[in-house]
Formats: sequence, C-alpha cells, structure tokens
Amino acid sequence: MIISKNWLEDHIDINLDDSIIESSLTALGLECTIKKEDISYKDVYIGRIINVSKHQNADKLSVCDVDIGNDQKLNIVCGAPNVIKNAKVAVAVVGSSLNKGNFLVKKTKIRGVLSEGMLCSEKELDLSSNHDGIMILPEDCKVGTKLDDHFNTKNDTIFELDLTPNRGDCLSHLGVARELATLNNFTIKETETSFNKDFEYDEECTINISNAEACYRYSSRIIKGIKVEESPEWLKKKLISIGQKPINNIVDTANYIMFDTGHPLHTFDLKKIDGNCINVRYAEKNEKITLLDDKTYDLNISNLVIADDKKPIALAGVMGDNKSGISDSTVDLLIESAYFKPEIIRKSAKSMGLMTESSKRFERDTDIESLTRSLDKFCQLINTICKPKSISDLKDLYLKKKNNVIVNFNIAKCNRFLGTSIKDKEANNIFKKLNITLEKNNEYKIPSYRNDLTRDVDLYEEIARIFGYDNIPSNNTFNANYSSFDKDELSLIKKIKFYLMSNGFYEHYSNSLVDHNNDIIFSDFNQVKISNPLSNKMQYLRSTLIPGLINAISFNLNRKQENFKLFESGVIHKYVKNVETKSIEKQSITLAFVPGNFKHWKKNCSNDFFTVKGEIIKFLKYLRFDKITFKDKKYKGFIHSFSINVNNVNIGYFGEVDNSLIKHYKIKNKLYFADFSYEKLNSLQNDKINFLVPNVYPSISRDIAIEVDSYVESQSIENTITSKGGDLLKNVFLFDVYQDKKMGDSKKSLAYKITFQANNRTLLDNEIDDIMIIIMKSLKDTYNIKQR
Amino acid sequence: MSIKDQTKQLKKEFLEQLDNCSSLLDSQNIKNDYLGRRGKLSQLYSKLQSLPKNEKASVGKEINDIKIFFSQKIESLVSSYIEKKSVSNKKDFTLPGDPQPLGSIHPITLVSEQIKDIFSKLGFSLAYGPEVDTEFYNFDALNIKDDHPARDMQDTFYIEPGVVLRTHTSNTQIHTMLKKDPPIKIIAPGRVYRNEDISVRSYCLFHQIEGLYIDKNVTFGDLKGLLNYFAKEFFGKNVKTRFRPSFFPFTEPSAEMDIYWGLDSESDYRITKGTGWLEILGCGMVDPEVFKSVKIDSEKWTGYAFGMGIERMAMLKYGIHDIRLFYEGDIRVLRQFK
Repeated sequence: MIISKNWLEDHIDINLDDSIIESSLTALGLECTIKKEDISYKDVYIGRIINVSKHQNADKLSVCDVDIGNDQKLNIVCGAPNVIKNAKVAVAVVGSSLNKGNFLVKKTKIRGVLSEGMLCSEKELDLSSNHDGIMILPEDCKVGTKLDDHFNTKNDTIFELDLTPNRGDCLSHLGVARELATLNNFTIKETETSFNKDFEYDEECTINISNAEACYRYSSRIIKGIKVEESPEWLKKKLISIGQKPINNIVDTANYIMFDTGHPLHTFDLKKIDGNCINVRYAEKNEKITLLDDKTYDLNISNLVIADDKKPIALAGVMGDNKSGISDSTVDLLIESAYFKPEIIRKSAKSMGLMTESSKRFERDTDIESLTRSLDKFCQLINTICKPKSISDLKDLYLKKKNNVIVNFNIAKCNRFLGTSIKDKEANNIFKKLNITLEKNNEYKIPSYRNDLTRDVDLYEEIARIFGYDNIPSNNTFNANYSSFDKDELSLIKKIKFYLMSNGFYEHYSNSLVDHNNDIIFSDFNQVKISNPLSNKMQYLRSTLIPGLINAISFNLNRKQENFKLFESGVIHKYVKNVETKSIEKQSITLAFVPGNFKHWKKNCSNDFFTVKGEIIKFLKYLRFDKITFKDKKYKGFIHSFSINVNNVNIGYFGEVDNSLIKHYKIKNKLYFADFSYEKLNSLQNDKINFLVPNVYPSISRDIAIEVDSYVESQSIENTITSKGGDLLKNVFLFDVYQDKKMGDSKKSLAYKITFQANNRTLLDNEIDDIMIIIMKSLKDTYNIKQR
Repeated sequence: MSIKDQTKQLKKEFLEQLDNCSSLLDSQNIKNDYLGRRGKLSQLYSKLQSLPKNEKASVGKEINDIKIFFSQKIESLVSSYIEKKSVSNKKDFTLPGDPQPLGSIHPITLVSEQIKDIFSKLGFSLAYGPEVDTEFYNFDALNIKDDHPARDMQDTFYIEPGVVLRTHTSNTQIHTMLKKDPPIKIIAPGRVYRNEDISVRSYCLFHQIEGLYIDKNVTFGDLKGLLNYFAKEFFGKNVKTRFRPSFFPFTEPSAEMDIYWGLDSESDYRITKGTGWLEILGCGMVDPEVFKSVKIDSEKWTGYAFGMGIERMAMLKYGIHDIRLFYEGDIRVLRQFK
C-alpha cells in the first residue's frame, strides 16, 4: 500500500518528521518504509509554446518556439496534433532523461530542422497511458519550474506499507491516519457531505439482491448529466503521487475514494444497464463474461455477479465487464457501494486468477457501516468536479445486518498473558484511542471497520500494540520442566556429519524435487509426484540421494575439481498408496567417492574400490559396529555392488556406478557410493563398551605365503584360517597379494601374518606349529593351495 | 708377534681404514670387521686365554682400552654419515606434510546446529514432522483457513487434494501437541517447500527452525526474554533488537523480531530497505484456535511459538547473496565452511 503524507493530512494534522512516522507505523505493525522517488523522468521543465509553425518538409510535424524560463528559448519539432500557441507543456530539454534514465534527450535534426528537445505526452512521462498528444498543463503553473516540483513530489513524502492480511482497514489513507492518531492523540477530521437530491432513484432503476448471504448490503445512487473528461490537476496529482495512473474524472474519483476511505466503488453507465435493473446474484451455469481486461471468463455458480436484465455486467467486487463501464460518451451513471462477503470475493478472484485493488479490499473485509459515507463522498466530489445535472436519492438495500462485535476483556488476564502490569485506566485509554468502547462490565464494542478483532486475545494484541511491544518487559529467567524433555531421535546425524567432515567429505544439500528419469536409475521405489510442479524436471520427490550427489559431482568435475568425496544426509520419499499422505519418509545418509590420483613428494597415491571399502569399515567402526560383512548383491544403477551388514542386519550398500546409465552427465570418472539407512544405523547403536584388561602374555606370529587359483576369494581363505585357528588365533592379516610371470593369470599368491595369543599363559612354539599344520592342511584340502 | 704388538698393529690398520672410509656402508663394514662378534678384537680376546696369569690383566686392559677407542671412533664416523643423510632428506622441515584431506560441514548444518545448541541449553527438546503432510496439519489446525488470504502468503505444492509439501515447520507443532500433553518445550528444524520460481532470493525449498513452549503462565514477556537471549548468542552480546506487531494466523499477539543491522554499506541499505533494521524471525503467543484444534485447554495453558529461516540466518552470518549457492554442491563454496 502506497501512502502519501500530503493525503494523510486531509485526515489528520501531522507535525511529525518522516522518519518518526516511518518508525511509528512500523511499531504499530504497519511495516513502513519511506519510498525513494520513483518518477521515471528527470530534468523535465514546464515551458510555454510561444509560436507554432508548420515543418517545411513534413505535413504532420510542427516546429515550436518554446520558452522554458530564464530567458531561454528552444526550437522543438513536435508531431503531436494538439500543439497550440500559448499552451503550457512539459519540455524534455537536451540532457533530460525519460523512461528511468533509459532515454537521453539529445539535440537532433528532424527532417532537416533542428530540434533542441521534445514536448512530452503523459505516456512518455510514465504518468498515464495517454499518448494522444502532448500533455497540456494548467494555465496557472509556472514556466521554468521542474515538472516534479510542479507535481509536488518533492513536498510530499511517500510511504510504502507492507500490510499483513488482517489489516484490510489500513488499505486506505483514512485507515493509516486512524493508526497514527492513536499514537499522538491526533483527531480525525470529519468531513460533511451534502448535496441536493434531485430525483427519485426508483424511477430510474430497480435493485434486487438474490443472495443476501453473499451481498449483505448494496447501496447506490444515480447521477445524471455528467461530462467525462480529464480529471482536474489536483486529483491527477494525488493519484500520480501514489503510483496510480489517471484515466478520467469519473473513474479517477471512484479510485480516489477507494484509496481515501478504503471502500471500493463501482460505476456503471446507466444506459448500458439492460432493463433498468440490477440483480446481485450467483452466476448461472455456462454464463460468460468479458471483463475490462478484454478477456472472456467462464463463470461458475459460486461466482457472485452484478447482472442486468439479460447478463452479468460485473464480477462482483472484482472487476466490471468491458461494456457497461464509463466511456467518453457516458452521460448518466450508477455508482455502487456494496458489502460483499470476503470469502465469496476471494473465491471468485482466485478462480479467475485475478487480483484487483477492489478484490484485495473486499476479501480482507470492508466496513459495512460506512459504505454509504464513501458513496456520498464520491457524489460530493463529482458534484464539484463535473457539475452533473442531477443526483438521485440514496438507494440502500441492507438485507443482512452484521452484529456489533462485543468482546469480553479482563485487564488482569491480559497482564498475565502479556507479562505486563498495565493499569485499568491505561487500558481504557488505549481502547478510547482505538474507538473501542466500554458497553458494560468488561464488555467492549469493536468499531465496524476493525473486522479483525473478535476475541479477548485480539484485544490483548491491541493493548500490546499501543502500549508498545518494546515497552513490554523482557523476562530473562527461563523455566524448564523435565517432563518436557525428549530424546532427539536424529542426534546421531550430527555425530556422523562431523566425522565425515574430519575424514575429507564435503557436505552437500540437494534439491529434493527431482527429475523422474534420474531418480529411477537408482531407485526401486515408486516416486511421490507433485500435482502442480514448477517444471517437469522438478516433478517428483527424491526417493534416493544418489542423483542429487551426481548433479553436484558433475558440477564440480566441470569446474576441474577432482579426487573428492561428498555426502548428504536427508529425507527420501517413497510413494505408498494406502497412507494418508501417500508418502513414507526416511532419513538416508549417502557417501559419494570420486577417486583420483594424487602426487606427493613421499609417494604417489591412487584411490580405488578398496579405498572406499576401507573408508566404509572405518566409518562403521566409528559408529561402534563390530561384525561388519559385505555380500555381493545387485543394486539398481551399479556395476559392482555389495550389501553392508552389521550383526547380519542389512544397513545399506555400496558399489561402483554403471556409467552407461548416466551417460547424459558425461562423467568419465569412476563413481562409488555408499548408502545407509539412518533408521538402521540408529537402531543398532549401543552405548555398551566391553572393556577388557590388556593381555599381558606375549603373542606369537607366523607368516605364510600361499599360491592359489586366481578365482578363489581372499575372504574365504581368511574364513578358513579363522575357523581352523581356534580360540588362540587373534588376528589374520593379509599383507601381500601378487602375481608374477611364472604363475600366469590363473594363480595368485597371498601372504598372511597370523597371530596367536592366550589370555592366561605364554604360548609354546610347538603348540602353534600344530595349529599351523591343521590350518595348512585345511587350506590344501579346500583350495588346493601350494605353500611357498 | 706379542699380543701387545698385535694391538698396536691393529690400531694402525684401523686408523688407516678409517681414513679411507667414504660411505656409511664402509663405516658399518669396518665396525663389523673390528668390533663384530667374529671381528678382529674378538680374535685378540680369545688369545688372552693362552697368556700367563700375571700378564692377563694388563693385556686385557689394553685390549679393552682399544675397544673403547675403536667404538668411539667408529660411532662418531657412522653418525657423521647418518647425519649427512638426514641433512639431504629429513631436516628440511619446510617440506609439505602428508596430505590429510579435510571436508566441510554445510553452512545450513552449521547454522542450524548453532541455533539448536542455543535453545537446547534452555531446555528445548528436538521434534520432527513430516515434509509431506495433510492440509490439516499444515493449514487447518494452525488456523489458516481455506478462505483466508493468509493461505496465499505461501504458495503450496500439492501431491493431491488435501496433501501438501509442508510450507513451514509449524506442522510439527500440531503433531507434537497431539502426541504429548503439556508442558511442551520443543524446537523443530526441517525442510519446507514453496511453489516459487527459483531466483537469487528464493528457492523452491528452504529450511526452518521452529520453537514451541507450552506451560502454565507463559507470557509474551517470556517470549521476548527468550528471543533477546537468542539474538545475543547468535549475533553477539551488543545486538540491538526490536519487536513489532505482525500477523500469523496461529499466533495472537504476533510479532516480528528485528535486529539493528546498521547502514554502513550499499548492501545494508538494500537489505534493510534503508531502515537499518533487519527482520530475523516471526513469533507470537499460540492462538486459542490452535489450542482448540489440538484439544488443549487454553484457559489452563498458554504458550509461545517462533520460527526462523535457516538459509536467511546463514546468508546474514556469512554474507551469502545468492540462495541457490546452498544447493549446487560447489566444493569451492563448501570447503569454506567448517
């Protein structure tokens, strides 16, 4: 909402600095900023046309001598049809700028004649859409003054208010003035309206409200014998000052009243109302209307319309049609000031995708009591502006009363709620400023324009607002009741995140709205689909974190980053039909590895599958897991993949991505992912640590090197050694794997260090020799190994 | 040759050898030759046995002396070689250390952990709600009625009629209040969604952290005290705050807390709209309508709620101007946050 300080002064006398007004309104909850000048022209002057002559080379062009004051005269070529000698005009001189600085006026030759500037139309100055001719200024304005000074923009201050939806009453200068008045005991100036009634309304038109539960009140007057023309200068200035473009005297006056009192008015050309009757009703099936925006809308039966005998002529409270409104030929008009139920207007406007100044106010609720005052103020103004022949009496159909709102208020309760100690008298004083009146014991009557106040807590807010939020004491002691303490079910995530950071992973947050095609590469789940997506690339909720990480990997590879690790912890969604929300959400933790080589002065390193495997084991050990096993298993999107199990419970998987499935990313690097279910990681958590006294007895180690067929997996050899080693075996460590030419591809050599230790005595060499014989025999029998 | 002569001879040979020694390996070989288990000195010792008793002691001492002499000489030679090697290789302490890659924590995590820590200290427990939820939890129970313009404040993604991507973490308030009896003291962080075009300023999703405290005699003054403390912890001891009336359907009175940001730079003017004040969070006293929808007696219990955007806090804290940077995964951005 744009508010002009000069306009506010029509309602109250303000003797406050602009910055005080700004901060006061903000403190009252009308978030306010002083608007910087927003005129699109610069250095445009008022000039007078001294002489007009025809352009020698062009019929439609005139050459004007223009006086711009300070003894300066300019020669300006102009194509407008309305250049007249002695007219006062807006002159953009050499050096002026138009269109927010995008158009600089220069000295030019037009068809061989020098032009030292231009005479501007309203459109060129961005004041209205009028481009029929140049703007002719009133006779009394002063040649040589700057146009913005003339429009008073300098002597005014423009405030921009960011209003909350509950304060529809402040969508007007009167409403904002009322708020300012509460602070400083300003009084609102009351204006009397009076004009003669010239004829009976009923002779001209009949009004019928078919649906009083949607239109509580419809009041109107008929004005005859008007002349539609440009608005007077003061009115144009006012509208321009708040960013509205003047149209004509009738429409401008109606708009002026709306921005002044907050009540939207609507004008009809009386002659265009078929059958001299107005019916406020719901639209019928298959009715259509072409509105002022020249678009045709299909109406539905929940749209309230203003109809004449034959057809709807306005979408009630939103916009009129493109025929029944005021045009240059309008002579007689009907002016409407009505009360529509907010929900009805909101639905209508929303279903048409429209938001107008009118619908904005109606859906935030209007003042049902004062709507005739707005109507009469309109008539009063029209009376002075365009001297109509006659004005009818008031036709006021008030079918459904809105009851006065009475709220029970108790100051002690209010103080308990706010943590204040406001006295009864002070509270009553606040209410007086707000026009809230005490009816009887603790019962307060709310003024009709404050539709947002219905309950005691609403009045607590009013007390707090006027008392000042900043004056309410801040209580600096804190209470906590242990029965409110709950365990944080996601606390492990923090631990995991900081671990991963320390181990070289960058944390990533990806968009959870994803492209279906990317998601299904890695997921077996059904995706949750959004019915009104931003784009079809963001139509589904992710069911895996992998594609989001691949996006980030691709982003970084394209920027020459290499050899890095990422992770993400977040929610994934799975579509489930028989759940109310259609979605089951799970926390997932996914690690991404983009291995590469790196050189270092001590040694060069390369990361690969086994680096990843090692990191996974370290990560799980950090989470205090012990029995970690991997099983070869096919997962979607992977070339090699393995399930990860802790105590034989599956907690996730890892593997190498099948790059042929993500060709569109053009990634050449190998990508590895490890994906964990948070739920599983968390459920297997155990606080217990089995403390063991360190073993004081020496251990004995034996190294063995065996040659075995290449296809034999080292894991199974290790398992055999472990199972045959008995209780004394403490550790099996594979320290070498190699192949040489002599062996060929079909064999490999594995070297293990096997360590034995007893808890209660020193071991003897010969008992270990015996165990080693058993182990070697078993290896020979099972795998046909050759000892080296 | 007497043993005495032999020792003299040995010493002479030894010193010659030392003179000719040119490498660590040589020096170690010399050491073995003379001092080793089967070295030349050992051979001399073995000859002691054949000497008469009266000579044994003096000759023995002589051999011992020479052994000490040899040992000292050879050790200093060996160590001089080892020394040389480390000068060339180990003693350049300016060589880079072994690479130990460090990762990063996302700025959203950093800020949200900081906020969680502050409120945890004051006895707030963590609570979580679903991202996909029904309109009841996201709107209706929070007093955001279908026909109220407030519903327009948040453009909503729908899964199907009645099921939405939550537009705020406030749904967690409802879930918690329906599950648990007061007193309730929770903070609820999480991801929320808005159907808005993606730009420098807005993204289709972001993160919020929400707080709710319900107990007997909770006041608006308590809320102010809590949030003033929060602002001091988060923005620094000298931060200036102000509270101003606002509107949220689920709180009454409603407020917004601003902090004084200042007007030192061009960007300060832009982000504070020339006022110097910056909006940080929304808050208020829980509206009786909300209590009604979760069947908590508002005559008996009162409470406050507050909520803030984590990206916004992170943008302020780190001076990030483009919200999209949070979701690109650009390592050059990420690695700055630890």
